[in-house]
Amino acid sequence: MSQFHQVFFDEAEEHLAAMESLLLAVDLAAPDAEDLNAIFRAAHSIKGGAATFGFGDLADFTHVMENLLDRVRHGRLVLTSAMVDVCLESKDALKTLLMAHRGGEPADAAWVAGLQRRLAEQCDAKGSAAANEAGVVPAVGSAKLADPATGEDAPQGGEKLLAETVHTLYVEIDTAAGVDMGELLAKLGQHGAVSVARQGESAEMPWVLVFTSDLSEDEVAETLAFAVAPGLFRVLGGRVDEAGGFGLFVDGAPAEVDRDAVAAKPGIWFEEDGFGLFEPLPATLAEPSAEAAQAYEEDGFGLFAAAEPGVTVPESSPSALPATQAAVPRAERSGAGGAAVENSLRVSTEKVDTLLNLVGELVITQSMLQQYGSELDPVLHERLLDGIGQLERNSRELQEAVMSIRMTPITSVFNRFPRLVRDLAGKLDKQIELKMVGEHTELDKGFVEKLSDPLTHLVRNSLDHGIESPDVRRAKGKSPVGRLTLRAFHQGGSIVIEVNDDGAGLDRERILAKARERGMAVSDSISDAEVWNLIFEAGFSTAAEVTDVSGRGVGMDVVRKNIHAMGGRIEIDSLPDYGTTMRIRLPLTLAILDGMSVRVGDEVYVMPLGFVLESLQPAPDEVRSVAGRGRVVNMRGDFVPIVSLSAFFGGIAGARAEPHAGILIIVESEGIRAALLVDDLVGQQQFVVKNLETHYRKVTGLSGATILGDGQVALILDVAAIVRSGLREGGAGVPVPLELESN
Amino acid sequence: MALADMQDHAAVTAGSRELLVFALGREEYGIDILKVQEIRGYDAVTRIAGAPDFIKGVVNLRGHIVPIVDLRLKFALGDVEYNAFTVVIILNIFERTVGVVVDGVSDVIQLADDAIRPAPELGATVDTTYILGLGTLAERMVIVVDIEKLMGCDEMALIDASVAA
Repeated sequence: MSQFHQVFFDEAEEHLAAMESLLLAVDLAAPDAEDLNAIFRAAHSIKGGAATFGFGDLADFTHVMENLLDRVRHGRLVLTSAMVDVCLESKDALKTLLMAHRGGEPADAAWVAGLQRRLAEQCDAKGSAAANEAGVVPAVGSAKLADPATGEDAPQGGEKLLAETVHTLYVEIDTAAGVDMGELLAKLGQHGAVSVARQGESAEMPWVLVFTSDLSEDEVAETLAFAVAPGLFRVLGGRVDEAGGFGLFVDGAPAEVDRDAVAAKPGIWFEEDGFGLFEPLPATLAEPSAEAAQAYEEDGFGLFAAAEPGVTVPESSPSALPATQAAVPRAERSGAGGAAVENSLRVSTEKVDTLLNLVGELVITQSMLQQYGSELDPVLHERLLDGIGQLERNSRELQEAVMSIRMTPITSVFNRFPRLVRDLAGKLDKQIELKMVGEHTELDKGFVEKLSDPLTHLVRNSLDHGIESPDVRRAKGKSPVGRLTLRAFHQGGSIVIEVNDDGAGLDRERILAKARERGMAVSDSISDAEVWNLIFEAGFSTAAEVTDVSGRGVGMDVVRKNIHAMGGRIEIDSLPDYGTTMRIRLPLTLAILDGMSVRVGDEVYVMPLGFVLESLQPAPDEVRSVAGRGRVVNMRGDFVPIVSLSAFFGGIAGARAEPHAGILIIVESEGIRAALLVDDLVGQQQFVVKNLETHYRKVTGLSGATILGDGQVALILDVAAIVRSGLREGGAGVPVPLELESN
Repeated sequence: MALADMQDHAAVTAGSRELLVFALGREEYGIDILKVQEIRGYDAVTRIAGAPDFIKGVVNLRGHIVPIVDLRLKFALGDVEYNAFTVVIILNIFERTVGVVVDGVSDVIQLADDAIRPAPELGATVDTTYILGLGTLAERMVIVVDIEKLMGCDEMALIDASVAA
C-alpha cells in the first residue's frame, strides 16, 4: 500500500504546484475557462485520491475547495481576489496536511478549520449575489433548461452551460458487480443533469444513463472511475449505437425518473431541453460571429436549423448537440491536456549516474581504440578504421544524450517565485511585477535544489532593500510598480541566472560606512565592484532595521558560499536609482567539468577552469620573497602570493621548485588571488567528474577525480581549499619547508 | 546485508569456510572469498598526496575510482617490487571497493572451523585484533584474517572519520 501512497503524494504535490501557478496566473477580470477547469480538476484529483487512500481530512478539505472552484468555473460565482487568496492559502494548508501524512509535523487544526470555513463562506456569500446578478442578465430563452438538481442556480448556470460547452453523454454501467446506483446517481447529479434511460437488470442489460453537464467524456469517465471499476462502464459521446436506446428513452422516460437526481419531470425536461438549447444558439452564435457563421453554415447551422423544427424527433437533439458544439472545445481540451501531461518517466538519479558512468567508460574505451587504430596501416585496415570513426561519433552522441537526461528546465527553481513575490509584496506594501525570462533554460538536476535557497535570498533582498515603496518611486519619477526580473540563459559553457530589479540600487556610501564601522580597512577610492563585494562579507547587513524578510546579515555570505560550492560565481551590477542586477554564473553541469590539466612533477592534476584567470611564466626578478618566507609574483604591479602545488601536497617527485622554471597559474577564489606553481600546462578539455569519496575518503585540496583519455586517473584540485589553506599556512612557501612557514 | 547472511549461513551449515589464500612475503593469509570481487594485475596508480605510503593511490576500475593498498608495505615485509606478476585483489567491503596488492594468490581452500586455532598471544609486537585464527592445511599454516576489520581500522585511513580535517 505504501508505494501507492507515495504515488499519491507525488501526484498530489504536482497537482498543488499546478494549482498554485494557475491561481497566480489567473486574470481576475477575464478568467480563462480552461484555467479554471484545470484548477478545479487539480482539486478534484486530490480529493479523489485522498478519499481512495482514506485521508479523510484531505478529502474533506478539498471537497469544500472543490465546491467553490466548481461554482466559479461554472460562472455561478465571480472570481474575486479574496477567493484567489483563500485558495492559495488553502493550497498551503493542503500541502501541510499532505506533509503530515508523510510523517511531517501535524497541521494546525484551527488554521485548517478556519480556512475551510472561509472557503465555505466564499462559496455561500457570493452564491446568492450571483443568483441575483443572473436575474438581471437576460436569460436568453434558456430558462427552460432548469437544472433539476440545483434549481435555484439554474437560469445562470444554464446560460453558462450554453456559453461554454454542454456534453450530453450516454453512460452504460454494468451493475452486475453490485454498484450502488442510488449513490452513483446522486454523485453524478452534483455535476450535471442525470436521467435514467434504462434500468439495468443483468450483465446483458446494463444501465443506461443520460448525463448532461459541461464535463467531457474523459472527465465523466474519471469521476465514475472512483465508484465503478473501469471495465464495468462505458461513456459514449452523443450517439448510442443501438437505435433502441432512444426509443426506450422516449417511451420510458416518465416512468424511469430517478428520484434523487432528477426531481422534475425528466421526460418533459429533456424534450424541452431541445428548445432551450437550440433556440438561443442562433442568437448567441450569430451575433459575435456573423462571418464565421457563414463558414459553419453547412455543419453547424445546417444542423441547428434542421433540429429546431425537429423537436418532435428527440433523437436528433441530443446527438446533434455534442456533435457540433462539443466537438471543438473537446479537441482543444485534449490538446491542452497533452501539453500539460508530459510524456515522461520518473527515474532515480542513481540510475542516470550509472548510465553516465558506463557511457564515460565507453568513451574511454573508444579513445583507446582510436589511439591504437591510429598506429595501423590505413590501407590494410580501412574498414576497421572506418568502424572506429563511426564508434567515435556514436559514443559522443550517446554521451550527449545521457548528459541531457540530467538536465531539467530552470522552471522548477523559478516557479516558486511568483508566490513568494506576491506574498512578500503584500507584506511589504509594495507593488511588484515579476517577470521571468528563459525559464526553459536547462541546467543540471543537481543544481536545482541547491539553487533555490540562494535565489530566494536574492529575490527577498531585492524586494526588501532594492525596490522602493510606491510613494518613494513616484517621487523619483518611476512607475509605482517595481519590476523584478528573473532571467536565465546560457553563455559559453555556463548558465547565467540574473535577479534584476529597478529599485534604488546599492548605496555605496552606506556600505563603506558600514565597512568602516565593522573595522574593515577600506578606502574611498576602491572601485564599485569591490564595494559591492563587501556585502558578501559575513555579518554584513546595511538594512536600517531587521525585518522578518531580511536584514539579519546572514544572507549574502551564505549565498556566495553556496554558489561557490556549486563551482559558480556571483557578480553584482548596480546603479543608484536605476537598479541592481545580481548575476549567478554556474557551470552547465556538475558531472562534467571544464578543466585545465597541469603537470606537477610526474603527476597530472586537473584544475577547474572557472577559477583560472591567466597563466604566466615569470622572469626571475618578478618573484620576490616577503619576510624571507612567502613569495609573491609581481603581476603588472599587483603582488600575488605564490602557492607551490608540490609543497602543498607535501612534495611531489620531480616538481620544479623555482617559480621562473615552471608556470604560474593565477587563480581567484572568494575574492582572493593566488598564483599556483605547476611545471607545465598539458591541455584544456572537459572531464567527467568522479567522486573520490565513494571508495576512498575526502582529501584536502582535492575535489574529485577524473579519468583521462588513456584510462589513467587524474585528481581534480580543490582550488578554493588550496588558496585558503595555502595562504593561511604562512602563505606561499615555495622552496621553504613547511615547518618554517607555520610558526 | 543479504550477502553477509548467506555467508554466515553457509559457514554454519558446512562447518567450514572458503578462503582465498594469498602470499605476503613467506607468509600465507586467508580471507573470506565472498569479499573478493576480482583479481587483476597491477596497473599504474595515481598517487594521492598526503596519504600514507602503503596507500599506493587510486586506479580506474571500469569508471570507479578505487584506492589501492599495498599490504606488503602495511605489514613492512621488506623488499617490495611491482612487476608483471604483482597481483591486486579487488575487495568489496562496506559497500566500497578497495584493491589490495599482494605477492601472489595461491589457491582457494575449504577450511573446517575446527581446523582454525585461535591466534596465540604475540605480545605487543603484532596487532592480532584482525586475525581470526591460524588455520592448518596439510603442512601449511594460513593466517585467517578478518579483512573487513583490517581495512576498516583507523590506521588504514581508507575511510573518513577521524580524518575529517
